[in-house]
Amino acid sequence: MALVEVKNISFRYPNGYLAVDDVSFSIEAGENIAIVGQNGAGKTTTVKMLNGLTKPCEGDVLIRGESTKKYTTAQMARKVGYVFQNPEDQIFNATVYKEIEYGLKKMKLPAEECERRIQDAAELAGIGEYLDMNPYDLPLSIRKFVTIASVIASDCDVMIFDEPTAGQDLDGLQRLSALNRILTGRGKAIVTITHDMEFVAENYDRVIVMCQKKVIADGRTRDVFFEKEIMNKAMLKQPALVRIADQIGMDHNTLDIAEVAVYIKTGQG
Amino acid sequence: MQKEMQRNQGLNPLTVLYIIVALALISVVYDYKVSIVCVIVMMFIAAGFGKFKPYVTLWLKSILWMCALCFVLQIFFIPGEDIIWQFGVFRITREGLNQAAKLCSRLFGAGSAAILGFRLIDLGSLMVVLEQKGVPSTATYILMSTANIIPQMVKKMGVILEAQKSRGIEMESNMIVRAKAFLPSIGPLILNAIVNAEERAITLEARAFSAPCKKTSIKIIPDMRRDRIIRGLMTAAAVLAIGGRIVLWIVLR
Repeated sequence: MALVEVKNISFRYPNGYLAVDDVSFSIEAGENIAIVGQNGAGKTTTVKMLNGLTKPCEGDVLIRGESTKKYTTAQMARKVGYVFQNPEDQIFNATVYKEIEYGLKKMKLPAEECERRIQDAAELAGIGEYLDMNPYDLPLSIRKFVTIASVIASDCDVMIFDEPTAGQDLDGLQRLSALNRILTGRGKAIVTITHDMEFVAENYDRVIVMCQKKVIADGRTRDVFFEKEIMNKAMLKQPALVRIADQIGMDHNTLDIAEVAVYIKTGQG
Repeated sequence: MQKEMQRNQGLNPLTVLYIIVALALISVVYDYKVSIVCVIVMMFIAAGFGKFKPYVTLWLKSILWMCALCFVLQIFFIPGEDIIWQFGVFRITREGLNQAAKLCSRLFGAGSAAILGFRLIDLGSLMVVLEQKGVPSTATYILMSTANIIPQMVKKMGVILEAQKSRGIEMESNMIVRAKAFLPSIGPLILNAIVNAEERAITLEARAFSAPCKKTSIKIIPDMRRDRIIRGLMTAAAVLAIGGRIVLWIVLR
């Protein structure tokens, strides 16, 4: 049984606007998935159905075999964590420590366990030195890691990151890459919505491409990114490495820069 | 702009505002019978502007309910000597009934006029006209941002509630549970509003908002003779109504 099973879900707003149309996919524990597509493709509405923020009008979402329809979003938060694009929508505590602690208190965990999780999440997110600071005194990129740490601390099976790369410098991007590796290594499923194709190419094994409310591709990143027709249809720019590999006529798909460099130097793979 | 003018039957938005304010004033200074007549006139105006259905829909959902609730509360809580009906501790007095009718007729007239204004007047165009008439741009900006801030905050609140639910804060239960969720929801809303206000101020300065020169506008809203006549008539009607009410008050006294 997959960790997450999305079965033919559709969602229509009360005004009749169709936001998601018959989407299906499944996610295994320890998988690292990027959901990409142009604005309005239905990515955010789809992931909101994973934690029950939005209930599907048709179809169902199962987390470890249980329908999200049976639970409130707050109950689902123990299984599926969601990091919103804008950290200001979430942060309200006076210190970073209290911000991370807040969700754990709601879960009524013992004090020692709270402390352990806070320290672990802060260390993973690279914000250990800011624990006593007011989140609003920190730059946006660090505030994003505060919200990420809050979700890591809650130890959910599935973690959804909405545009985590926005506003991040190289250090932030490297920290996000490391986080992805560590969390998937711990058996967490990571679902990321992003427009940063270079980041996807470097960090995700699987990509789901959405276009006009439907999934138009779901597969290995290295295969999907070489499908020019799909990328064009979804209005996505192929990463530079893919375009170079395409131009030099490489005989196989790769997202490994060293491999492409060798191919160019030797004239073949 | 032509489209906007066509929507307003070729009337300047300031003229429409004068009509609405005059009707509101007349309905407020007289009793409920005049208020009812004014509201009927407002409905005819909405129909004339092709906005009858949206106006009546909003009116039924808001003003009618508000007035009914206010009336019921007033008649039971205003004390008096002349008891009309009594059941246990609840009593309706003639004084309470009169007071409730007076207050509700004001709410009825002014509220109906306010929602007619929201339905008929494009705030952006009205601000342009006001600036053309010499109102300082700071004042028009404050009016404009005040009118826009409520829907923006409602939208933002929706996103914040979603964010807080996603971190395990229960909001789909009884009143006590919802009350506990108040702080996590209102905190980010206020902080967002402060941050936005600061950013908006910087953006405005970057766009030379306080530059000491005459501002230009891409909107040109004609102010025709017909508009000036209607505004004059509306001003006269409002002044006469208020004057008449004062005379009546003195005579009846």
